[in-house]
Formats: sequence, structure tokens, C-alpha cells
Amino acid sequence: MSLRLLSVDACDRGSQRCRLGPGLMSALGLSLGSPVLVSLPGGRSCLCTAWPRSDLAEGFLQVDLKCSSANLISHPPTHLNLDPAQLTPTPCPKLKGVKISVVVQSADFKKHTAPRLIHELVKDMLRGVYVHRKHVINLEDFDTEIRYVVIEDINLESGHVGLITSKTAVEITGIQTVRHHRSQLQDQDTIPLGGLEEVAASLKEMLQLPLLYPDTLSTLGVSCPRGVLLVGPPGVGKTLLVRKVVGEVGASLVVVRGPEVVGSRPGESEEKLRAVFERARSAAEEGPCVLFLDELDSLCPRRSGSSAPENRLVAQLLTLMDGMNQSDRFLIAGATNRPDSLDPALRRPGRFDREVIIGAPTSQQRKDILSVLCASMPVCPSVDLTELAQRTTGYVGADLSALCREAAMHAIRENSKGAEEQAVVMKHFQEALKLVRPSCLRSRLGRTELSPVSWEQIGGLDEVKLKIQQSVEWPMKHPEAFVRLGLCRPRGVLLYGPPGCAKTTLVRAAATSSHCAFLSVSGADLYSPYVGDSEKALAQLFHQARACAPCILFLDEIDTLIGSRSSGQSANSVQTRLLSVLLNEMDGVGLKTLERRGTEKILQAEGAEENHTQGQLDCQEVCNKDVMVIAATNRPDCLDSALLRPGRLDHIIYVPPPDRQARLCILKLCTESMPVDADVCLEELATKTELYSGADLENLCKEAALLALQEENMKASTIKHTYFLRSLSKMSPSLTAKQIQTYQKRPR
Amino acid sequence: MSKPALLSLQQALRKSFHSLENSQNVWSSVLAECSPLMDSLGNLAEQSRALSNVQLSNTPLRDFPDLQERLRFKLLQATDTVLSKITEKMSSLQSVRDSTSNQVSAVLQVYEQNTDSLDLLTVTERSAITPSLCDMLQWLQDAECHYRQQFLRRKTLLQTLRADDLSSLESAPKRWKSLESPSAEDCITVWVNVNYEIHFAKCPSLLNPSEENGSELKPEQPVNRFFDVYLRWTFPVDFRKKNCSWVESVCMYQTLIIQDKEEFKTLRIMHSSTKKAQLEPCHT
Repeated sequence: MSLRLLSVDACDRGSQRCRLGPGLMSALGLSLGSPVLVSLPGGRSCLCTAWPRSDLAEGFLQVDLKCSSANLISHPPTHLNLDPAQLTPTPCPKLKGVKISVVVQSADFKKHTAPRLIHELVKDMLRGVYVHRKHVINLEDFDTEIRYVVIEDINLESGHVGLITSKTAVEITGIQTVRHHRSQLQDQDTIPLGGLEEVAASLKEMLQLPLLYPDTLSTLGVSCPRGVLLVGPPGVGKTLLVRKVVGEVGASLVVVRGPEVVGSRPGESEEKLRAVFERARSAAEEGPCVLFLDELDSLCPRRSGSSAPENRLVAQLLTLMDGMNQSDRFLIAGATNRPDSLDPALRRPGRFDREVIIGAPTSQQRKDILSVLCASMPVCPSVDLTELAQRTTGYVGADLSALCREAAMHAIRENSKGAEEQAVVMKHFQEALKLVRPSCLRSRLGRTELSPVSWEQIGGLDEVKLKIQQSVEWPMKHPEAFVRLGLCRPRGVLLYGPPGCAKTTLVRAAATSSHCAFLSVSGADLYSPYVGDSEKALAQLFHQARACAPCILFLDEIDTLIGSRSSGQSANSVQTRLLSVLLNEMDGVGLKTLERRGTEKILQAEGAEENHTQGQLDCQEVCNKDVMVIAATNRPDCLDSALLRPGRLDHIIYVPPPDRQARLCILKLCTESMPVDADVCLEELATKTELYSGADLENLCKEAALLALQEENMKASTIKHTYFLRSLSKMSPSLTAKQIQTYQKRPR
Repeated sequence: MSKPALLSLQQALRKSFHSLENSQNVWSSVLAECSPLMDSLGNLAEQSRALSNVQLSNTPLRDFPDLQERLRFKLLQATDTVLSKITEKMSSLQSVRDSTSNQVSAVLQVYEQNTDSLDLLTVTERSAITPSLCDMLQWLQDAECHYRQQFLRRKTLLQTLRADDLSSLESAPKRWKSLESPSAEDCITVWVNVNYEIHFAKCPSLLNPSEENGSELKPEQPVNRFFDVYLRWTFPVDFRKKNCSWVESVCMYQTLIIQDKEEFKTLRIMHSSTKKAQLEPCHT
């Protein structure tokens, strides 16, 4: 028999009664009003006195939560079915003394009320209450400013429960406000956070230092930093980090959300902002406090010349931050993903003293994040998190959590079909990887879905394939070898050769085999009627590619996309400007601070030890932090010479027109899906198709098949050799010997 | 189940309901005495406010030396007097609360002493006209809780008044009034009355001389029938459903009973005066 938990009747509220059927009461040996401990799932429990239900019905339970464990008050149980074994009759001896802390509604009451009076009131309120060590007594039904009492300790050698009588000595150890009490409770449910330990430690230090060593700081005459600005792309866990640190330190958190502060009437927003600071100040009187301004860029945009209402809000924030006294011991944390749109006045020491840049996670960090996320999932031990971390370049924390969720969903779907053991295996993660893409690539320029092409699907060109594999695949697959030999991966590869010789297909195969992000742009993406827009788009493309590095950036037909300075065009044309952007991005002085991967090393007073044992993943990072540019052209002579020097497009690979052997391979591949007659001699065709490119050969096969259909009136089942020969006679090669001659000399 | 245990518990209950009735009378009379005092407290606060708002130097009264201070002193003194009077009243409220608490804990103690001999079936047994022992114990507890709550709230209100916080002084009478909870008081009245009736019902000697030695409740007793008919006549609904909660039915008809209090009293008189059950409606 199970008991259904119902909500408590209005008349029983605050009476510490729990209503159950009389049958169950006698089964448990309970008499009217005898104390019983109700244990609920999740380690929560509640102490109450047993009374029969007024309708004497069995099978139901109503519990008044007058004395319950702390997390029960914030999350009252609903829709639960309990086992009668979860009710334990508990004899309660009368207590000699009890230590409590009192939770009052407002700080005002705490300030103005004599401790003696509070003691008197609380003692009256607690009389006749059964208490449990570490439980919270709910006194809301008395309707006074005193809301809760936390039983810190009871004066009893053994056991955790007792009855408070008029003779019990009540000792108040502390008085706190409800807000503070709630924030204290929050840290009990821990927030999973991986890979941000360093930043978390430095934030924690900023919060705790002034509390732990106030004298040291005052003798040094330094003021502790009071503002931290967290900068990073969306989804790296800025908000979560703040919540986590606040929870760990046990500080109270005052959150400011942009829309909540901004009001419609003039002056309203400023007033609300002042109220928020006042709230933080009063919270800081009771303990460490963090004022968290999320999405700071929306709250404090760069002040413009006109008298926009935001200007006043920004000014108010600036003055409030300046007006903080040394005695206001609260920390202001701001979070933004667009630090450039913040007002510059905010970013000076004294306001936001520290700026912590949290970049997209490195693979080590991703592994940490994944292991934190997977800790609560039934993940099969065969799942290799290191490999998964390598496959998820460019994924931020939010993406990874979406990935894990999606993998779990796959597992559930599979399990619902056939009942198996509930475990998430690598296969589910692979399925999820197809669905969840890194959010930094979402709705951005150049994002390309490509159908996978394997190296085997390209006939011939073995030498070229090997070269491409060397420069693209090897650094990713064997980074330790590259590190050992002091090699670094090439910045760029140029494929040139006559048209139709599988340059684009080669790139697709490279992207498929290397499993990294692939961006491809054409003129349509870059060119814009506005001056400067194209350059910005190209720079942004690189920015975004770096965010999800390792990444292949493919510039097809680069000769038309990017001009050359020597070819007599006007010096200021769009193409030359694009060229300068490209040259800079490929081998410029450095990166913008915002694009940093991972987090910088932060010096700490606590002396966090450095982690030297990152091993292979570190190598991976060293080799793959850059974007690889692959360019393709059939007019290498039109390219600017600065682009072709080593350090930019290091490897210049000639994709030659297919020779006889290659043509045979291509023909074999093309006719693989076709029912060719036995008399078809591909060798003969290969010999006869001198100067034919791969595309031509594919076309030839198509023509032959069409001809077969035409001749045999839709009934053709095989393609005869004659059809090949007849279609060959109608065609002419797209390449000329002279054209090929021009490619023979290297462009550099 | 032993009869002596049941008897002693019934006796204790009867006694405590009697004293609860007295307590309730004292309580409401003390509260009634308090409200003019609270009004005068608010009045004094208003005067203080007026005094602090006025600029005496701009009025013809400026010739009197130190008038403002003197007036303020007088007002403070008056406030003190009123407050001390209220404190007196509070102490009588406290004594009501304490006596109720003692009564209730005494009854509970009687029950606890006899827990072994009173099984749950006995204490939860109820009929259409008799609430179970459990119900009665619960009512007593609720009543005690009500007094404690009321006293604490009023005490908190008085103790948090400060002479320098005029607005809280001014609003004090209003807040004092808002603390009244007529529904709870009505509940207590009903409980007291119901119990009074029940104990008549349980005392067959009054009604049926032939069963003088039996003190246990017999459902077929004429007075029960009378009571039943009375209720049926007053309330056309049949509330004698099996296991229908006594409290529920009382609450259902509570308002009517309160309205018909006079009638109720008549009924009581009829009980005591007639030794035979009467089927006539009592209003005749």
C-alpha cells in the first residue's frame, strides 16, 4: 500500500500535524499527537505529530511542514507516493536547551528590535514544537516578522529530536534575514561546471580575501578589487560561473536583469538601479554579496551624443560604482559577450577592475565539461571523452550540454523500441554530433553543409591526395609527431590546375576526412555595395573560423575573389582591399584579445599549482589553434605574390589533368553505377581521351548512357561500347595542350 | 478499552470545554476593553504629528515659554499611561492564554496516560451528533493555538511600537483591529456550544431516567433523535452521511448556528427542562 501525499488543509497549517488514516496509525503504533518523522526522497525529512484524518480515510498523507529539513521549504513536495515505511515513530524527549538562529523578514526589524524581545517572542513561538537537529521551523503562520528558526543544535546526548517546552533554554546564535537565508540554501544544490576552475578560483579569491584578511588589506592600504567584467562568447558559462562561485562562497546574489531595471518613465530606471545597489548593500551587511549585472551591454551601451535615456542610466551606474565605500563589501560582476559596445568609462580600474576573458573552451576544458556533464548520465564506460572533446572543436559549454542531452534522447528513443539497459554509448554521441553544431557557427557567414566525399571516390591523383593529406590530415591526426619534429601545420594550401580536374572535390574529401569545421565563401557572401563591408565580412569570417578552430576555410576561385596588386587594377578597388585583409588575417601581428581560446593564467595569492600533465591534448592545441586556408584557382598567375609566400599559402599543389592511368580510374568510378556491357573496354577509352578532364570523362559516360536510351527506346539494359565511342566522337576535350603548358611553370 | 480511562478523558474534556467557554468570554471582553485604548493611542500619535508639524513661533501661542517641549512631554506621558494600561490588559490576555494552555496540556496528559487503554478505534469513533474524542482534543489544541497566536501577534505589535516612529503609532489601532480573526473565534464558540450539547446528550440521566447508571453514548437515545430532528428541521440536508466529518458538518452549518444562537439556547433550555424527548420544533 502506498500513501498519496496531499497538500495540507488550511486549518492544519502551522499545527505540525500530519494526517493519516487511523489504520496506519495503529499499525505504526502511533497514538494521537505522537511525533513521527516523515522521510521524503532526496534526503529530505519532516518531523510532525500524527493525527487521524477527519474523514478517517486510509491511503492519504497530509504533512504540515512546520519542522522540516531546509531544502523542503523551498521545494515543497508534490505528487508523491510514499511508502508507509517512510514514516518512523520517533520518541521525543523534552529538551533542556536548544541553539537556534532566527530568520527575520526585513533587515529593518533586525536593526530596530531588541535581541531580548526577539528571544522572548521566539521562545513563545517554539513552545510545544517538536524539533529536529538542523531542521528549519516555519513560523510564517504567526504572521510576524520572524519567519523561520533554524535549529542549530539541541542539547541532547543522543538522538536528533526533542520537544521544546516552556522550561527549555533557548539560545539564539544569530539573526539573519530571509534573503540571506535563502542564498545560503542555494549553495546546497551544486551547479555543475567544468573547465573554468581557474577563473572560478580567482573570483572566489576576490570575494573571500576582504572577508578573511581584512586587517592585512587595511595595513597594506590597498582596496580590494570590487568589479569583475566577464567577457566571452555566448554559452561559455559566464552566468553559471558567477552562480557557482556565489554558491561555493555562500555569498548572497543580487541579480540585475536589463529589462527589469529599465522603466518607461524618465528617471524610473535610475531609481530602480539605485534600489538594486541599496539591496546589495543591505545584503552585504550580513555576509559576502555579489551584485551581478548580466548582459551588461544592453544595460550600459556606449553613450551616444544625443541625450538618449540610456546615457543617464550609464551615468547613474558609473556614479553608483564610484560611490561604493570601502565598507560596502560587495563585488560587482558584469557579464557581456560584446565588450566593445560597453561604455569605455565602465572599463577602468575602480569600476570594473578586472576583466576576465573566457574564450571558447580548449579541448582539455571541453573534456572537463563533458566529464562534468556526463557524471549524471548513465554513460557507457567505453565512451572516450578525450576523443569526443577532440571532435567537438568550437563547441562551447552550452553546445556540449545540448550535445549530451541529444545523445541521451537518442538513447531513450532507442531504448523505447527494444528494452535494453539504459546507457548512452558512443554511437548516440555520434548521432548527436550530426544534429548539434557549434553555436558560433550558427547563422554565420560561409557555413556550408557538404555531402561527405571519401578519398576513394576520387580517381587517380594519388600524389596530390598524399600532399593534401600531409598538410591537412596529418597535423590533426598525429599532432605528437609534429610536435616531436618541431613542425607546425601549414597556414594555407593553394590548389591550382586546369578546370574540371577535381580541385573542389579534393577539398571536400579533405574536409570530410579531417572532421573539422568547414567554411566556404564565395563572392556572393563577401561583396556588398557598401564601402568597407566586404573587408569586414572577410575579417569576421576569419574571426569566426578561429573561434571554432581547427577549421578549414575554403576560398574557391580565389583569383576572382581576391585581386592582385600588380595587375594594373586601381589601387583602391574592393579586391585589393580584400587582399590586404586576407594577408593580415593569414599572417598578421597577432590576435584580438577577445579571440583568445580558453582562459589566461591568472595569478593568485593562494598559489594555485600549475597543471603540467595535459600531455597530448596540449599538443593538439598547439597544432590546431589556427585556421587552415585552402584556396583553389585555375589562374595562379593572377594571384598576388605576397599571398603565395611561405607562411601564407605554404603548400602550392598542382592538380594536373588526368594521365592515362588516372583517366582509367575515373572512368571506372563513373561507370561503377552503370550497367556497362561486357565488351566495353575502358582502357581503350582511357587511351583515346587524351586532354580530357575528369569532368569531361563523367560527361562522356552520361552521354553514352543517354545515347543508349535514345537508340534502344527506353528499353536499354546495358550500355554498349559503341555508344561510348559514338559519344566520344561528338565531344572534344575541354583542355588544350597549350593551356596545360601554362600551368607547367610554378606560380612562385 | 477500559471504561475508566474513557470516563476520565471525557470528564477532562468536559471540564476544559467549560473553562474554554469562560476563557473565551474573558478574552473577548478584554479585547473589547482594549480597542478604545488603542484608539486613544492612535489619537495621541496624531496629536504628536500635528505638534511636530506646527510652527508655534508663527502662532499667537509663541509667548508661552517652551510650549512645544511641554506639550510633547505631556503627549509622551499620556502615551505612556495608555500603553501601561494596555500592558495591563495584555497581562490578563496572557493569563487567559496560560490557563488555556494548562487546561489543554492537562487533557493531553490524561490522554497520554491512558494511551494504552484507549485504542484508535475508540478515540476516532463518532456519530452524527457526537464528535469523536480525537476531534475534541484537536479542537482544544486549535483553540489553544489560536490564543497563542493572537497573543503573540498583539504582543509583537505593541512591542515594536517606538515613540519616534509616529506613523507606526498612528497605524497601530488599525493594525490591532486587523489582527482580529472573527472566524476563529466563531469556531471556538461553536465548539464550546456543540460540546455543551453533546455532554447533555451524553448524560442520559437527564433525559432518560431508566438508564441512569449507563454513562456511555447510545445512539438510539431519544435526545439524539430529538437533536437529529432539530438539525434536520433546521437544515433540510441530510448530514448524517456515514463518516461525514463532524467538523465539516459543524462548519457547514456554523453560520446558521451562529445566526440562530438564540434558538440554540432555547434548544438547550428545552433539553434541560424536559425529561422527555420532544419532537416539536423549538421555535414554537
